[in-house]
Amino acid sequence: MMADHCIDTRWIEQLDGVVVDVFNIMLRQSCEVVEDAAAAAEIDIAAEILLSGAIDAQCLVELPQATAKKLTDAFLGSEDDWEDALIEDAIGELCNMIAGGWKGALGATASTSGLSVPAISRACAPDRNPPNGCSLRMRRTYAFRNSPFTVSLAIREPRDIQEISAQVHALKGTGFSPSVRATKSMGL
Amino acid sequence: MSVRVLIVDDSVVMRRILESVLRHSNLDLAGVLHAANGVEGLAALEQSATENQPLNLILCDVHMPEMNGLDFLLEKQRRNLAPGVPLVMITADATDPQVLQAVAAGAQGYISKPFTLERIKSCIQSLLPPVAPPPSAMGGTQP
Repeated sequence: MMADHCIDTRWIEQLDGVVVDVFNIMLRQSCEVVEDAAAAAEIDIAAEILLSGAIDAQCLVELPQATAKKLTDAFLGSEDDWEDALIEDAIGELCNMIAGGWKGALGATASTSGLSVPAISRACAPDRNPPNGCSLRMRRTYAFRNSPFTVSLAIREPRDIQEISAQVHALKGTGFSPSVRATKSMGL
Repeated sequence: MSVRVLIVDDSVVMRRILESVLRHSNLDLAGVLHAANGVEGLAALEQSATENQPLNLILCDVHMPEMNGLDFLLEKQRRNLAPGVPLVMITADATDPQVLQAVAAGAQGYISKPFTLERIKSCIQSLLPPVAPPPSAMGGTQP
């Protein structure tokens, strides 16, 4: 697992819970967290959804082609030589459910933020970087049917959090220095 | 009573899943129409009216390109298409204000993704009449 800046551990737990729920409820498949991030080093296809509003964020699901094919099998309840468009559609739906579930887990803070429709890209697509200003990032690797995939979240801190942080920095000059880290829990 | 259902969703995979659930829901299913967005959905409603083949249920995604689910519902009502036909929204984002707006505008409810097959069946069966069981299953006597 990669996480930088001050990612609240509850966000990680919420994301894990959402991903596991999607597989359990929708696909009746088990899905586990994989601690070995190298397990999903190969990426052939990715789906991206942007969250914009009170909270700005990017949800990115990346998979090897073999995992994407198995995921499509699971969605459609049979094994077949699916067309690329159908596989991409399935990945988009997975990303949609993960992003929607994670947004719901954030509670009222995120309720006024809107989700984009999924954007699909292939391995060499250049535009997979998070939007500007997303300072909080985490990347989790999961596996179902022994097939790995990753989910990445990049989050731009809400403006009110930034303002509080700025005030805290200003207060530091007066001798008062509360923990900046505590202000980044975003009340979740 | 045989039923006809319109599924409006930009995801082919989701339309296939929903159709599969419908076909396993103890319905006398006469037809399932597919539309990839609200514009196609409106065209399907107009065609159904023209051909005098009324629909009994509409399942509609919220987030779609071209025309989203809320706009589809509002335009359907403005044109008085399929009046009285229950419409259920399908969404991965249950906190989206558009979902509540759709319910306030007349949608019968919404189903959050991920969903279980039982959840969809339960919703459908509450809105549509089940297939009448054969006389033998009713324990009735033959005429």
